[in-house]
Amino acid sequence: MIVTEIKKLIQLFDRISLALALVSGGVLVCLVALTFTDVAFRYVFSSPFIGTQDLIAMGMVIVFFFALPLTSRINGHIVVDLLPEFSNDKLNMLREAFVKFLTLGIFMLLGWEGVLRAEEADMMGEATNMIEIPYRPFFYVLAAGCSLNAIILALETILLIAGERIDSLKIDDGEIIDMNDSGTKVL
Amino acid sequence: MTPVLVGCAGLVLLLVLMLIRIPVAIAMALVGMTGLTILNSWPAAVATLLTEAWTVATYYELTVIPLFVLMGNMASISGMSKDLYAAANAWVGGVRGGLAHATVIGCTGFAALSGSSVASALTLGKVAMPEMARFGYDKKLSAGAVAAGGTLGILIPPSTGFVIYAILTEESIGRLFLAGIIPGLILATLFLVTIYIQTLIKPEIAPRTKSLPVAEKIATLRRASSIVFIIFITIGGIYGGVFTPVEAAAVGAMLSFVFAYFRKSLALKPLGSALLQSVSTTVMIFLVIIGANIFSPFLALTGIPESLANTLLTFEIGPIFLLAIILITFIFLGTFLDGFAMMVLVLPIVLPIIIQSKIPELLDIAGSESDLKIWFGVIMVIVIEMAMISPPVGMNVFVVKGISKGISMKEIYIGILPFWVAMMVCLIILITFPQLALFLPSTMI
Repeated sequence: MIVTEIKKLIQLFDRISLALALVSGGVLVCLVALTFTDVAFRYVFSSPFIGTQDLIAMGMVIVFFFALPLTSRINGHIVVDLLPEFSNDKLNMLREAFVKFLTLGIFMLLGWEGVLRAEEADMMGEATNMIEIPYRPFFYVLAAGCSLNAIILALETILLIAGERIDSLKIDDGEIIDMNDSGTKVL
Repeated sequence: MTPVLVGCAGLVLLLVLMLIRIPVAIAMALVGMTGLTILNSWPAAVATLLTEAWTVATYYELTVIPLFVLMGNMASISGMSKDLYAAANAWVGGVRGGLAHATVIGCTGFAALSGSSVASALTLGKVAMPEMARFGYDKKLSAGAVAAGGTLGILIPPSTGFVIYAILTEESIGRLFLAGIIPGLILATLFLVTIYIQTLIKPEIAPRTKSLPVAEKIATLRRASSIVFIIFITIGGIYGGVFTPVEAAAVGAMLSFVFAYFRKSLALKPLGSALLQSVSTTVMIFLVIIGANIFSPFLALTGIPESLANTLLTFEIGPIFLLAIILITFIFLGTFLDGFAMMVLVLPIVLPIIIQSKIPELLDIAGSESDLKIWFGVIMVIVIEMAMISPPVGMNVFVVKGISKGISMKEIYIGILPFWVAMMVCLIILITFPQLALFLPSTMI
């Protein structure tokens, strides 16, 4: 019963992760357009935009941290799979649970520190150099991406300890996301 | 416990964590933070974690990675790879082994659009493998040409490998990109020679195909001209000082979008897929850099790199022997470690040794540490390429296996072996003539 609920919850978070990753992709396209226009203005009109680098730096915070949860769910991180899997799947699940538990620890800590740092940045009035974009909302973006990633990892850890597993997502050429577990398409 | 002992324990822990399949970036962050806590304090470790995550995400120069990855993905979905292969095939397809030659030439061209070896092998492989199968090419030769040709993706600029190396060594991304051009072309030529020799010895592995009329050949070149235009603008722009690497990447990505639009290949699903793949690749690479940036200060605090350098230098090993030891270690590590993981793990230890050794004198570049770093960057990327086609963890081998039917891993590795030897020859050439890598960066405007 609980296992089914957790799986449903992960599928819900998968949809949020996908939506965030698409926002991340959208921001990346905006950064391409911004840089291209900046270069064009510099050469054609001899007047580059002020603050392009600031916008790119803050845009990259969204690109990176909003795409983080989906990257984890598609197993997009570099892993050294040198040793073969255990023949006993229970042992594999315990190993996977331990791996996800340690990973979630890092992201939980980073998410929490991001929240604290956002408040500190607000108090100190920290902002970018050229056009003074405040850091605070972007530390919240960092915190949101890391926290969502940590929550999904926590749910996956509980599932693995309970002896169940939810398959990772896939990005295909034709179909953007394929949910292997249920066979239902997210998009 | 002395710092060196803490460092050794940290390295063992890192190995254990990686063996139980914790993502490399997370393993480095965990060990780095534990070590910093022991050698400094918990608040310092936490501060390093947050600072590095923020710094890497907001680091302007690193924007070059998602932009070039996006450019490569857009080029892939817009069918430019097909045009590239068709043009190469039209011109060299008629000679013996022509389709395999065309694969390598196509990979060389696509490498100038893509910074990833896997993307190059996947994109060109999807086009070239069925074509070679249709004309009865030997599976081993086809697999070898695609897997090896694909590795050119990280040597010929733009290259994600060079960007990571540049960040880790504080070198110029633009200069490193330019340093990869001549070695990349030499390696591509060596691959072509490898195919030629194989088909000379065993002509039956690559049946001759029909040569096309000149008019058709020229037509294929016209279709591929958009690719040449993008390459000319991006790489030429960096060389001529017109663009910074980030600007060149943005211009290249924008041009790929425009060409994809005019080719009517901007359908929602492939576009969404290209965007998602671009951002997830970015996360993968950025996370490894964050992990490395947390691990490196810990390693520096332990004093292991200096101790190791001093110990090695007291043995008074000759520079050739020392370089051979380093390269053999890299090639060995590359057989089971991911290439990027190997670079971020080993570079902080090996680079100080190389700088303090007599290797710069051997190469006749003792005067400039920057030249040494750039030359070693090219060597490092070639070794990573070798890692990508070496058993048991060769990413490009998995790609070839994934896109071709009825070929065993053993057959792929046998097919790759001659190309692996070509890479060794390229390494020897670059050690003998380091100026081949340093010439273009030295003339950069």
